[in-house]
Amino acid sequence: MRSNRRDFLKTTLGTSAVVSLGATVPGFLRHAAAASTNEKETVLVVVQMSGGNDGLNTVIPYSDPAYRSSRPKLAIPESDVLKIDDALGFHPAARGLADLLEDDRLAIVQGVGYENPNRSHFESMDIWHTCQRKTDTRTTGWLGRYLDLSQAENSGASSAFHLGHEKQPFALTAEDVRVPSIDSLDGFRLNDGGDENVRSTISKLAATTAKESDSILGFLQSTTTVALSASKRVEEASRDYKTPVNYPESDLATKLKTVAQLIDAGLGTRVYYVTLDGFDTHSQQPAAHAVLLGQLGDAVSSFLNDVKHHGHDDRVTVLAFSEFGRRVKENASDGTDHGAAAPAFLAGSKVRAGLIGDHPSLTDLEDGDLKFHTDFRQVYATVLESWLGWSSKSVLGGIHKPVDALEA
Amino acid sequence: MTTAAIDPSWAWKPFRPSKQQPWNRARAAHLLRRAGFGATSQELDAAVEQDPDEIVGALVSPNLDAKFEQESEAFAATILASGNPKQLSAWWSYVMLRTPHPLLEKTTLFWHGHFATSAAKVEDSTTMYNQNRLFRQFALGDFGKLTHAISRDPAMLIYLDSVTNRKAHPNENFAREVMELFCLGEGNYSEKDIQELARCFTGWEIRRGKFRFNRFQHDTETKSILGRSGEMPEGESIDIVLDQPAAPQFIVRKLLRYFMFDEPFASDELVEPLANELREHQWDISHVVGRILTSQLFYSEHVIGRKVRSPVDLVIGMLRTLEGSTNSYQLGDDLNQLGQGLFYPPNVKGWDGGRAWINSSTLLGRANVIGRIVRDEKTRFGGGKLDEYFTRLDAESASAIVDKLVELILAVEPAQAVKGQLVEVINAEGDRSDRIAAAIHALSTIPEFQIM
Amino acid sequence: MAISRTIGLSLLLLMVVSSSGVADDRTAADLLPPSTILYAEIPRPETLLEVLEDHPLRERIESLEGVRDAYEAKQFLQFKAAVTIVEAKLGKTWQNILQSVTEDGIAIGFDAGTQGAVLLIKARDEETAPELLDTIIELARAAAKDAGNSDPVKSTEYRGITAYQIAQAKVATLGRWLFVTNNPESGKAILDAYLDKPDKTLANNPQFQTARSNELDSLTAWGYADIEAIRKAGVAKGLFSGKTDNPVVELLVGGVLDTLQHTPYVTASLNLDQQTTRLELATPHQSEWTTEAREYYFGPEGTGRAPAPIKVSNQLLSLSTYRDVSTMWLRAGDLFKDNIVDQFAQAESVLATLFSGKDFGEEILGEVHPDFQLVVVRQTYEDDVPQPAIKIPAFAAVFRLKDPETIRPEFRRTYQSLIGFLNITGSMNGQPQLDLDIEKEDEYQVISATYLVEKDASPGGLKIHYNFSPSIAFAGEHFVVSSTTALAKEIAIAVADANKLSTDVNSAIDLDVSAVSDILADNRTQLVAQNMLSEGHSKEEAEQSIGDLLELLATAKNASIQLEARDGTLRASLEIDYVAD
Repeated sequence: MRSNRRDFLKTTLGTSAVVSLGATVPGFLRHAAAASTNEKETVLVVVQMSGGNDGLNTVIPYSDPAYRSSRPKLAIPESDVLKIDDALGFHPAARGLADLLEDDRLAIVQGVGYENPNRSHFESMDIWHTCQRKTDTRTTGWLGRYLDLSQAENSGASSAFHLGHEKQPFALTAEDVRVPSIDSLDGFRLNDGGDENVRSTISKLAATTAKESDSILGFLQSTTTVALSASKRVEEASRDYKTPVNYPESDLATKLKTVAQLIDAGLGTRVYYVTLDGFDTHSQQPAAHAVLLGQLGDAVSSFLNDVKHHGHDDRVTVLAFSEFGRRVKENASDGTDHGAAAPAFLAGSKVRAGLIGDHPSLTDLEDGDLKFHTDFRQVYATVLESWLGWSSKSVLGGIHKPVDALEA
Repeated sequence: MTTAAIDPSWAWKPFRPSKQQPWNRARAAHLLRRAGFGATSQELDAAVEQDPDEIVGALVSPNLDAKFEQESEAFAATILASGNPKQLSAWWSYVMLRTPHPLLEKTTLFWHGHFATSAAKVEDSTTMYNQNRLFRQFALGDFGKLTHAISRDPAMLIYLDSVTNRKAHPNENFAREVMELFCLGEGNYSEKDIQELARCFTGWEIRRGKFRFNRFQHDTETKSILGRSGEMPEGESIDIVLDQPAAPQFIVRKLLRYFMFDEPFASDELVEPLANELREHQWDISHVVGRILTSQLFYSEHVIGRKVRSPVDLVIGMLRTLEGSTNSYQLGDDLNQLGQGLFYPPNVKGWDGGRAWINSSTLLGRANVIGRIVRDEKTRFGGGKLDEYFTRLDAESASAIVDKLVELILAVEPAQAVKGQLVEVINAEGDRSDRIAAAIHALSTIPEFQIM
Repeated sequence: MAISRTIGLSLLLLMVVSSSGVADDRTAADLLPPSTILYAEIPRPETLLEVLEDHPLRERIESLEGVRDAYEAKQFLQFKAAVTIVEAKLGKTWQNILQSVTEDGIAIGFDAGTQGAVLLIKARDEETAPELLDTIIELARAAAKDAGNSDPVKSTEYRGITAYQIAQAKVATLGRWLFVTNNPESGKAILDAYLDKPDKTLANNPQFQTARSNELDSLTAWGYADIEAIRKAGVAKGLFSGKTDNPVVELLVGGVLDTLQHTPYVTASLNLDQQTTRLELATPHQSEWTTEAREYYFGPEGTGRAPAPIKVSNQLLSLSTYRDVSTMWLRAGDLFKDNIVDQFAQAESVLATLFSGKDFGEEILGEVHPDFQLVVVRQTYEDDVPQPAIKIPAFAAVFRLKDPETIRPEFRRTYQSLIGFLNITGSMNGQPQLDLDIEKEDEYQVISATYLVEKDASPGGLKIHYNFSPSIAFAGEHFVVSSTTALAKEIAIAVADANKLSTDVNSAIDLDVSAVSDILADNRTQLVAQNMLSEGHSKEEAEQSIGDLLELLATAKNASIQLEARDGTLRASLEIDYVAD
């Protein structure tokens, strides 16, 4: 039995070796390679602001007297606020966000949160990631479920990437799909150990091995082809990547620049996930928060400008969120403590720019915190339905009305 | 698709070497690849002189001497002192690379995937290690006892959010996994069974990393599970679950997938005989694993080359077959990068295996990892460099080296043209060891390298 | 290829071995052009050889596994074969040949004018060097012929002198000199200088004359770098930019960078004998060169002095320095790039959370004097008490408070809230808890926190936490922050007794190497296990490498580093004392 199979392998491989030495890539390989270069598919980039962003000092109700009375030391002077309208304005450090809004590329979804808010970082982050409470059995994240359900549409390419050293966000945990975490573009490159000979041999080997009738070998063959061509594209993209955009020097900017390069390489990946940590500003908030908002705004606007320069702006949307906002009243050490509702941001050419929903009242509070009026799952539903083209019900486990933040 | 075409009575007959199917290096390599992490050339020399049944006999009942166990324990205890669970991955990689009992280690890894528990949540390295020791203790032993032990295992209960379990609100997490993932599989129980089973585990708690029975929180009323009723104290409910006919079938099917083939799905007819034997042998796993590894089916074309190598099979296998040693911390990270972080399974289902190991980034990762390892200055083969190693194996010429690599590593012969390319790589100008390293790196990118 | 490597090795050895010879008044500096910007010499190679011959380190190094392997490497064996041939040819031992060839010194210089490096070796007589060179050339030619390669040695004439090219090196002998250069122009310049005796040489360059040590003959080796010329040439811009953009590097060398921006030259002196190795780097220094932002480093007008080091038992390391860290913290904006300054702002927020809302730069760092010390000691363990499996040294920082009476209660409260904070976060993560205690004496008080020992400690030893009992102590104006109670108390008693002397240096580091050995030996099981994992070694191999490491450490006794800026000179010195056999 076995020797038959071996003979079979030898014959097919032998024949195809002759064919492929003709240097033209066989049709089925071209097909497999093309499958992963989908230049039309939309891309979602999630920016997680870890630690609980002070929404009130991000999108500031500067004309509300309750704002100044709750924040005697931390309130941003009206003259410094980057005004959105006659009631609200950005923190002066969030120049990048203000510019995006000016350019109709930023939607601010106000008052985002959920029922019965939890004020533990871990628990609240888990709730955002899984859409489930502690009492539920939580095994997958919302993006993980989307990846599971949509995996049939993808061929070989990794459908999502997490960029960063930190533990992979729960949001990306799926039943079947494994999301790679990578630090840099090196994770996508075939490393030849500085040996050109190895590189050329590997390409030759990929052309040598034949299309297989055996289903597992056939699958491996086509995935290898996809992988090598993806590596080549990333290689070219990173080597030849030129951008007029001057990214700021921050980790977030570096990560988003990598994302821009990967998008330009046409990997066929739909979801990228990055985090910016440090929003837990219990004391000495002013300087630290300004730095973070500066990094966020500058990195996201540079990224979107870069993506636009490369002609991908119609298919890239950024979602930025934090696990909760912060308390309305400042504390005694020039900081703020864990709170509840806060704004989330959607950015990109296809957003319906501007403010969405009202700013939560500063006088009608729940345990000293802002009340939410938009459930975070509505924001997810918006992204799933209008951007990734997927039914949000199956992912979110219930019906959540999308907000009007994206062009369908 | 299933294995319906395979005749069970033929499949489970013991394999007897014959003229058509002689006991040779290729078959011995297949056995030692599947029953461990591959064989060195020397081990193959020894194996062809032995009877295959004898080899399997020694593998399923390893002779663990006291000194070996004591040294392993001391080594582990030293590693645990740092308190960092990441070091455990390095420790286990080291153990797999050097263990004299490969099947025991491979089966321990099977149970780690079966009763998946992640240090990412448990965080405490000692708790994780104790669970690992439990898996090793019962790896080739009594599955019933293992299941009872795991139901009180701190790491498992922490992982499943079951550190407290009150009778007013029974936690269904663990009960659900017992039915769905550990013993029966979907379709063999009802939601009501889960709720009733959950009541049996009320009062089972973890306090300061230790199991504790809280009699005030235990539900002592009558429960009704899978058609049986009673108070069911002391884990009696687990025995009821294990008594289900579905239980041995579920375990046997999973063992077949682990030791034989990823695809297709094993038919009930094929599973049935071994499931019966597992029951007759009081859940003795070593019996079933022994039967699998000595069967006609095991040496047939349904099995050889029909498994996608897991990252452990790939990386540890490449090193072990060439007597390699290297930086285990890096090895632990590599396995994690390729999707099989030891002590860090992705979720409660464990690793799916099969095609799920493969996508474009893990394939690139596999090539990059193998390339990195063979070039790492800390990597040694037989204690030295690659050229010296192959000289010792009497493989001097480039084609002899390539033949050796193919014999030791690959389960399926690659095309002649592939071998030709590799010979060219070795004959190119440069340091001989570097050239051989380059050939192994190039070899790691072909589809045949990914299967076994 | 092998033969050229062999020649390289022999040339290298030429530099190391020698003996006594005949007098000649010209030195290497008399032959090098005034535009030489890097210069180093070994005035008496013979002495160096003697020291190396029976240095305590030598035997230990030669017995190391890696070195033993190198002795058996192909290249070394080839070299040894070549040596035998040379010995036979010249009828002298290799030792003898090298002694005669290097008798009167070895020097190397890099000339900016011709962009080349020249090695100058002065022999005892005029015969040995040409003989040696001829033999090496003969060998190289024979080897090439054997391998079927073309002639590897080319020769040219310049002013009647024959120069040879072997691989990248150009070699010529003249009188008692042997010259090796990588650049023909540099070679010509040297030959010209030898024949023409020019007025302008490196030796009569005024800056070089100022720099040159008058104790040259007592030194093992001496070096000189014309920093002004290097700076102007625009090489190593980062080194002379004056910025570090790394707070740790800034604290270590920030002030030195200011000096490097202005100083004309740097010299290095090496002294080597069986007991001690001493390396000193020196450069002119003026306090006005220090920028305002860096005043924290040398102090106002450069008057900052390190305090006299505290002595405690089992001391492993002491660091005593003048650094006004508070000012540096507040000046971060002038010293670092924006992204680093951003990190300071974020750190400030986190630290303020830890220190009950206090401003870290101003209210914590600002309350102490700029001179401070760091003390590291090996911990001792009682036999009957459970010990941590990994044994970490205890360490403490010692500060002087500006206003002890007012600030003491403030710091005490801050410490207590910090311990409370650690206990709360620790209990959430299942970590052991800290127990607070206060010990008050007339002279000092120690406030300590100790980890409670769990009832069922693991058999392998206690968790790493048990190396710590974070404590603070007050003694007069002194404030101690220590990783253990015992060390806090010992220092408190020591400083209460000591008079407040300061040193005349900016920073001093003392390392007791035998204590390092002891700590490694305390952790031997751990080190072996870690070595197995990180090197892939078997247990036996790991035992061997850790043993080698401990052996090697056992050779050295003490190491110290000092940085001082006074009398117009900035000096950094490193001294290592060895255990005599």
